[in-house]
Amino acid sequence: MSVDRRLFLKLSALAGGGLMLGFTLPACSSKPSGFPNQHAGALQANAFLQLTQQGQFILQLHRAEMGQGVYTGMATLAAEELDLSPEQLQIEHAQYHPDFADPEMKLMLTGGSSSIRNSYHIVREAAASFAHILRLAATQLDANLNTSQALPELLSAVKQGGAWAEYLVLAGQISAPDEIVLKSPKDFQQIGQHNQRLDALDKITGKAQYAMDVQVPNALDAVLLRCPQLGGKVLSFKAETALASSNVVKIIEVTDGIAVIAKGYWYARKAAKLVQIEWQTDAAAKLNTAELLIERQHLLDTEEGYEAEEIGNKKDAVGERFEAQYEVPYLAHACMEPLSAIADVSAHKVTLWAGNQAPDVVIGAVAKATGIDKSLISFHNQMLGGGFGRKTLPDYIVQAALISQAAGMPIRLQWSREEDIQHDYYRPSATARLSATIAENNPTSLHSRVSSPSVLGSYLPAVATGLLPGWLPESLPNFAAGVTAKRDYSSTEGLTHSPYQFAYKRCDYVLQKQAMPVGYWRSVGHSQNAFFLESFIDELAHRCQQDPLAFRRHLMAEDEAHTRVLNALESLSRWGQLEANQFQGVAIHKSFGTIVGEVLTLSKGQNGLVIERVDCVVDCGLVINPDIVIAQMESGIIFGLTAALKGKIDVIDGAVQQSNFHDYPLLRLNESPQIRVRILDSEQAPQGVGEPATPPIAPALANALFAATGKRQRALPLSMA
Amino acid sequence: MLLEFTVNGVPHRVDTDPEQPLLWLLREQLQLTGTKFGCGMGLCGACTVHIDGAPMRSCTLPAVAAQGRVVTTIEGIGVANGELHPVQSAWLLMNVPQCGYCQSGQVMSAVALLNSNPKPSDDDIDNAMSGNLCRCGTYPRIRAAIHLAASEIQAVSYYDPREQGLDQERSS
Ligand code: FES
Ligand code: FES
Repeated sequence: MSVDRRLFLKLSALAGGGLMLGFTLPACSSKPSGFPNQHAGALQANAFLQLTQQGQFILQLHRAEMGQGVYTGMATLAAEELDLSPEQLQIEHAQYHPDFADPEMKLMLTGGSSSIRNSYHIVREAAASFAHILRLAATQLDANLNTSQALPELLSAVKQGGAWAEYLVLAGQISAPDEIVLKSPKDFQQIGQHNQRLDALDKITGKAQYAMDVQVPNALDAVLLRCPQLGGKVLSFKAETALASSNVVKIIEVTDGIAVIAKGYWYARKAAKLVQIEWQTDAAAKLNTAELLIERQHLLDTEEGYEAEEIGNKKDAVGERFEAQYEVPYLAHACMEPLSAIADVSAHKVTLWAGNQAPDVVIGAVAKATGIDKSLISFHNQMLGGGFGRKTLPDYIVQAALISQAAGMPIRLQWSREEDIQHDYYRPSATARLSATIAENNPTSLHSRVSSPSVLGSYLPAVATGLLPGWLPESLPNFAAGVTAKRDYSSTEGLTHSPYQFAYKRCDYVLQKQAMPVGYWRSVGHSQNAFFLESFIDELAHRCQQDPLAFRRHLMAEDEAHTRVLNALESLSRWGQLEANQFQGVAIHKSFGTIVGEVLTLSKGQNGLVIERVDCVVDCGLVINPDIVIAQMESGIIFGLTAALKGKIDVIDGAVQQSNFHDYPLLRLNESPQIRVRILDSEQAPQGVGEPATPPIAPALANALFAATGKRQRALPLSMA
Repeated sequence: MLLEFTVNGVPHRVDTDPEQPLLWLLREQLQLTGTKFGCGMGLCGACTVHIDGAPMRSCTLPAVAAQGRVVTTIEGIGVANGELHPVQSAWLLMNVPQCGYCQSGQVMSAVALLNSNPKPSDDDIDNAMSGNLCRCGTYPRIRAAIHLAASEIQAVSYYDPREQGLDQERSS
């Protein structure tokens, strides 16, 4: 493929979000050689799988495990075709290799709830192709072997025959088959059955290894002081006293900040307090979230914008007009693990250890920043202490690499919680105006107009420079970002393609250009757009004097899949069958291919309103691991409740005001409701589960609060009072 | 200062600034990395260890406070002969962990709760566990797993890793 073509595919995949280009299993087309993490003497049929001389299968985990369960899920897919049980596979974090690229995004990236959806075929094909080779080799070795038996039995028979080494050599000479027959779902032994998490044991005994836990000999601890105001750079600094404080080794200016390097994190942090820095700020230091909100309202007043969707004829928008305006704040990711990375950079070799969702973005960005060729960079992924989109960015790893390069020694960069919250790439703040026309208690049109910064416009320049060939003009990614930002599909996702039928439907996006760094945050545009749409649909139901659930069913009558979820939700939640002082709210939303409906039940007691229960119905296609699907629904709901009740990042004069869990609180155990999940049976291909439970919970809560108080809250976070 | 204390049954002498939080001493000087850093302000519980059996936030506890004390970390919980503490068994059965980053702290808080209160009510669990944040939202399973562990603990009898002297065997 030409460079131009590849570049085009990468950019358009990033920009288009859902560009499906079809895939071929890369392993089938290329001869296995030079794969990373190759074990000595092991038989390797493709990038994913090896069989060692000891007879152990090893799977390369090509997606980042950040809690969503890919460690178990990928092992289950591979084990299925190898007739193994998932725990029999040894699993390693994959290093970068082009065969691990996501077929839609063209990058080795974990995001968009795509891991299982887009690996369902690839990983099974890799395993089935390997199984085919192993069977064929067995026949060639000994024609009397029964190759129809399960693979493990066949392999033991080969072993018992005493010619194992010869067998591996023989198998190594067989090419992958041109066509692979995958198991039929009715024969699945593991998929849909296996219900344990393979990484749980290490995670409850303290053995699971996150970036911060990697032991690199001679690595010193570094902290990086950055300007509290966005966009600030070092003008001058004084570090004599800091340098004299105990265990401090070096203090250097690097990448818009001052790095303090010491033997021990706490010593580095302590010395950092003694460094005096004068900062030089730019326009971003004038940023105020309150002003940005007003600006968005003005933008919505204009005729500007990109028409993301128009269905039907405007003439049919008849009746009385009703309009409501909603807004959501910026949000930080607040992964439980503050960002951390280890780098060992010398002139001809870069070794990196961190948890990240996008290894080739990391390698590209580090190559660009250090001037060292990509082929000399190796990145060792670790368990992620949460990701939620934050770790699609390479910023903290680039910092670690630059500090190591400047200091001439391996270093471990550790962010504080305060830095993690104040130097995030935030979920954009957004404002939406939704309007409808209603004729005789029947809605005839829906028009949504949303204004927000573009995540894509921020992400493209942040990652593209490292991905593009060096000879391209520096300005290209910025140019591409500028073009795509105006029509960033993620800004309107969920408002467009809704299941609701109106005689006339339209959705516009008005880009807000601003200096605040924004990024992908669990469920991206859906995280706010579901709140806008599902609150407004609820308002319409009340205006039309209809039951909110029945009203939705009526409006989505032509969409069978949505209707099936809504009906199941009605019975699971015992919709409408309430005791005195109980109130319910409903919301349903499709994202990442999966439909999730949620009913939230409030009860009113002596301490006011309490969230008693959330009932959740999910249709995510074929299920690989039912308990992980349930866990992801619980997780998405609780994550979304934090946003619905607490989350808010304020910026005053360019400085993020929140800093730690006292002023950026997360939902706690005592506030966590009972959650019941029902998974609907499906024979459709697997869809996403990591994100889709988050979008419906904020509107379900807002709608329940309206039922309880008669007061409509149109801005997040919501008040329970 | 020279800090003398016992960690997971093993006596240690470590040179440290008395003000250095115990968390960093454990992680960096003793390489016990199971105890995690989440906030550094006593707000999240990721760094929970036991000092003389009581759950404490090691990120805000100066090393000097551990002088002469008995410290237990996640590495010292239920590892004898590959056996798990009932809390860990319940955690496994309920598939509690997701990203897992908060889980060392969760397990330490839950073990301490059950040591002092073998049959906790939901309110007791709220009180003991609400200081431990979990961004992945494993709370419903944590609650269920504690109830499960409580039922097993009653059957299996009281457990204390220090009394059992478990860790002498594995460290040398
Ligand atoms: S790290 Fe100690 S309580 Fe958060
Ligand atoms: S399991 Fe991820 S923070 Fe608790």
